[in-house]
Amino acid sequence: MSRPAIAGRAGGAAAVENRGMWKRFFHTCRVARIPMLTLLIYIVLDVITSNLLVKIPQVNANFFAGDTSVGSVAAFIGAELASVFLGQIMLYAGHVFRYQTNRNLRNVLWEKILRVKPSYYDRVTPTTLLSRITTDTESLNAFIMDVILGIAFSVYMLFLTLQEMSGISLKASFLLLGFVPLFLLINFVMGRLNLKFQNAARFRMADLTGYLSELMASLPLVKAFNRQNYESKRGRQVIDEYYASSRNLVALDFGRQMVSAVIGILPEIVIIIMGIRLLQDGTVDTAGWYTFYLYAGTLLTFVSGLGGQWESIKGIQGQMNRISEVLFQPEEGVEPYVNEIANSGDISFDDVSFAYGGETKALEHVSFTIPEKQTTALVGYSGAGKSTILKLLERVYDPDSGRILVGGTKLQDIGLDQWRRKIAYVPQNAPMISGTLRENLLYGIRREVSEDEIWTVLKEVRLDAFVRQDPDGLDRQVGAFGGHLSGGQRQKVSVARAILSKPEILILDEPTASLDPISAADVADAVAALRHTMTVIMIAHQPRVLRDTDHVVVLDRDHTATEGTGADLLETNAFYGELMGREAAVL
Amino acid sequence: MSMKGKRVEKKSREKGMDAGISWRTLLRFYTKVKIPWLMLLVVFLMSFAVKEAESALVPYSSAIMTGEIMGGNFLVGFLFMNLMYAFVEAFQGSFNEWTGQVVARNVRRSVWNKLIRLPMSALDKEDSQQLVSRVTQDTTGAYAALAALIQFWAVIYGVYTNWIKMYRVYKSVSLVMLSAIPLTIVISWACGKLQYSMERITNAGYAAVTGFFAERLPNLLHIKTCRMEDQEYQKGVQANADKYKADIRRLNRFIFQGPVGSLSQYINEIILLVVASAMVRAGAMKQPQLVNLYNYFLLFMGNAFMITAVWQVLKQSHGACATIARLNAIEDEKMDGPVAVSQEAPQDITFENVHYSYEPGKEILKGVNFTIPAGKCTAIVGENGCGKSTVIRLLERFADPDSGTIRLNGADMHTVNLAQWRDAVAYLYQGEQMVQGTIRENLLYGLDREVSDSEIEAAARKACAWDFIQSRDLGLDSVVSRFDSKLSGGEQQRLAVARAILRQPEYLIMDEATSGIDVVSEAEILGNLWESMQGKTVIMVSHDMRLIQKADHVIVLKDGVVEASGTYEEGLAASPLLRQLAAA
Repeated sequence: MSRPAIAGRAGGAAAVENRGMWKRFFHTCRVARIPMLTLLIYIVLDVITSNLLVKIPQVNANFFAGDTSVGSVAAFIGAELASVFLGQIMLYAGHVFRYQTNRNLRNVLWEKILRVKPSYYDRVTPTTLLSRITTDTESLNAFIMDVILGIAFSVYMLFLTLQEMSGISLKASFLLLGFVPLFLLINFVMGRLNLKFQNAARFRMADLTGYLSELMASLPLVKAFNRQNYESKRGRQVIDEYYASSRNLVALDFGRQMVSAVIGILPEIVIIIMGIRLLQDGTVDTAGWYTFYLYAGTLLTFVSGLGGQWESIKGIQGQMNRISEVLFQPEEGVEPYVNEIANSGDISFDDVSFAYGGETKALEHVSFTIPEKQTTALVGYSGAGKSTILKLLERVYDPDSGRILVGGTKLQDIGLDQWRRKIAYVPQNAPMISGTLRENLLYGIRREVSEDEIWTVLKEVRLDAFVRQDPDGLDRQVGAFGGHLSGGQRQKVSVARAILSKPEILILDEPTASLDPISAADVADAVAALRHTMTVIMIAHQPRVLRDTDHVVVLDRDHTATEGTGADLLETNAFYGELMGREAAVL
Repeated sequence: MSMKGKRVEKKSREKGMDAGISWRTLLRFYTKVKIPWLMLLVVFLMSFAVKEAESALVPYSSAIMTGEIMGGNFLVGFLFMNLMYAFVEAFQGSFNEWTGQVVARNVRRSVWNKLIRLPMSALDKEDSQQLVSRVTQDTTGAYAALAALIQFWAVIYGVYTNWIKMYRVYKSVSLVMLSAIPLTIVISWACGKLQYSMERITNAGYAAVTGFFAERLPNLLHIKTCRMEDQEYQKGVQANADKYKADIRRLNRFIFQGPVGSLSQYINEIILLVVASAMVRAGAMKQPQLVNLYNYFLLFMGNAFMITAVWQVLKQSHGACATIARLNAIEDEKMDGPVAVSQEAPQDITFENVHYSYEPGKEILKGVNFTIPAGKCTAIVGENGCGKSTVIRLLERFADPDSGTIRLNGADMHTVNLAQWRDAVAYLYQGEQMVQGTIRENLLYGLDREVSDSEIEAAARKACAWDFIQSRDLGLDSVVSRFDSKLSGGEQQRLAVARAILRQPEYLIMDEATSGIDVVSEAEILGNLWESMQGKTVIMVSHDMRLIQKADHVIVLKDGVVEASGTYEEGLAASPLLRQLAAA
């Protein structure tokens, strides 16, 4: 079996899209409803605190240099407690800002996700969207607090510190300032190196995890094929490779730490040498020296902090990009349209072509008609474009070329909301959302529906007995994703909901595909009963369902369509013929 | 669906047990892992060296604080000691890291080896993706416990050595400082509780948003087609507001954690400074001594705080290891057995009064009796949730009956050599059936004989898979995986059929195995497959009545018992359900 490529991915995954970062950031900020008042309070607090904190080294130095008077001790202890107190207040304000920002951005993002063109849902998985809402949203507060404000206040603190230092010795302060670019460079280089090592370790771990999780998911197969020994060896090989590369990283990192330690001591030496000079020529006393030393320390801390903030941008950037990617998506229903009121009449596909992402061909010059108030079946090979037709009807996508006409009007000229109002859609997976059965049956239905009407429809889909035997009846909980119901029951609820919404057009995507024959027959009967009351369009393959249709469209492997009545196609279309008379073909 | 739901419930019930696993199970686990004792010894000794070096820096820090930096030796000594400290610390850190990697590797090897050999019934209770983190993450926890143990002694030494130095400077005040140790432990314990309640709030907050969005996001199209965007937006705003409230509740606790946690330090620091400065004022102590005292005090407190921190780590890694230790205690699937599977002729399989339940009180099989005749095609029929797939699981020996016996040619299935049995069977499922690797490797998966390319091609053609294999750039050498989005469900099923044809099994088990394949191709594929299975035993689960009609033997399951078995016609006569299914 192929050797796991442990080293392969690291480089590619590390590459983060860099361009346009600021543009994306500002766009996100503009729409994110940032809590400006909280931000303002935080900034004011930070300014006050910075101005107080900058005085503390003088108090400390005074005490350690030998002023042990009661006042000096009290000042020392007081300063320490005050800095803790102020620190906590800042922390509180900062976190309130972060949490409010998260909340607001989550709301904005959720609204956006609800409004984007549904074709977007085909491109990103729900899990991806979930992590965008729950975790990626937290990048904005990090960007504002850790990067923007972090740098701003580092610079401000630097300024305050220099101001105080210049009071001790202007010359020494300027001299030290001269070293700052050098320290900055050293910090930057060492920080990059450190990050590189960390990333390397992380990507290796990701590779190990990815590899094992795939094998783990295949475990039943491994057992069924009696390949435990083989997979045990394969896994061990990956584990050993991971170990070998981690060990090398540890050795390299030891070297990095040593170099970092040697370089890190240099600024200290510089400061001490300066101090010796200052003490020798009497510019400062002991307390003055230690104050200077503490300020120099503060200065260096903020300088190295600056380097760190640039590093943290990298991590945040990826998340910010994912957020703004969603925020930049086009919304649907915003294009101008010609007709407010949607026409009735036959729906016709006129020379329609469509390819996913402009590449994967789904339909090529397809023309057919869906007659009004009749039942039309879409049949054909898998991948021939049946689901695409439903998506074009739902206006999840627009055709690349050709026209879809409704009673002679172009579909694109009809208001999207008006059009969707006419349609009820029953997808293959029978989606449901936690809540009661009643809520799911009436999901999205805006008219008043009487109890009697619900029961009539339940009876039509043969779900009434099941609901009646439950003490909670219509108010029973269906569980997350309707998990407390079986697949057949969910599908019946889905069809019942569609009937209750009284659509002009009912679209069904293989409504009986995964059901046992009895449930399938119930659903098929319910759909058959709707014949000639509305336009029904469904993807179907069961002869039993197909018998009750007025019109059939066969999609061929070359993405073209043939249409006719069932009786006609039985004679003229090989695929349909085989489908209906399949018994003969098996065995 | 309902069956899977049950399994999940069972899973979550058992997950809670891990925290309460006994220390003995944990220790037994450590005895099974190869531990690099010599490396651990080095880490142990170096940890003490770090504490010494830390303490040896104090005179230099004090000198800086009091301005005693003019002496000629100061700068040299300062430079040397700092570099020394940096070296000792980096060396200890890296060596510790390396030792950790060695231990993790050893644990990973043994955990992986264990996981792959666990009986399926044990694996079913775990989330397979969480098992991966057992191998990748929890194994690091195994070393964390050892490292914490070492760290514990180093920290105790750090408390001791810095206290002694305080004692040498000023006896009575250092005795008072001893009170900081119990105080710190009590306060840290209280903070631990606070931390725990904060974590609970955080988790509840995340659960609020995750729970809401996790269900909405896969249903977005449903929401849109029902035009419920506005209502769902309002609900989402509510979920986000709940999360915000939880965040603030957590913050209201968090804000006190730091100051309260350091309370023992503040109290003792105030005592120390007030008393010592009074001494200096009285001339009983010199200023540099006060500074030294203060610096040793800071190190002493730092180490005292670490006592509880180390204890936390120890407890956490106990939690992390608990699951691997528990898994480790489960016995391997027994692959051998006294009864051999005959390679000559397929043998009858009989179910005798077999009971099975996924959870207590809800039996899915309530005493089933039937025979799967050798060399024939048997169909198992019934409504969703009637236990068909359970029968398959029992046949695969992925689960054992609660009671009753499954026999292979008269011998209890338990006594049959499992490795031989699995080699004799080919399985075709509905879902993903690929392992990571090339198409060729997948087609030959589990085969020990040499297979020529032309034989592979012939099998792939029979499964109507050759065309799409050829359409890939690398043909048979294209890499596929179960999560491969370019490989449709139907294509995976075709490859699985080709693999079964190559395997030439004595038994073929099919569970809705062609559901993703269009009807015309399906007829051709099944025709070829069954031709290659002439004279062999085929067991098939399907909803497709036209396939079932073709079976030699039909077993009808209803509500956990056998309603009828025999030929299709006999079944029709005896089973109302089969008549209903046939009419539907």
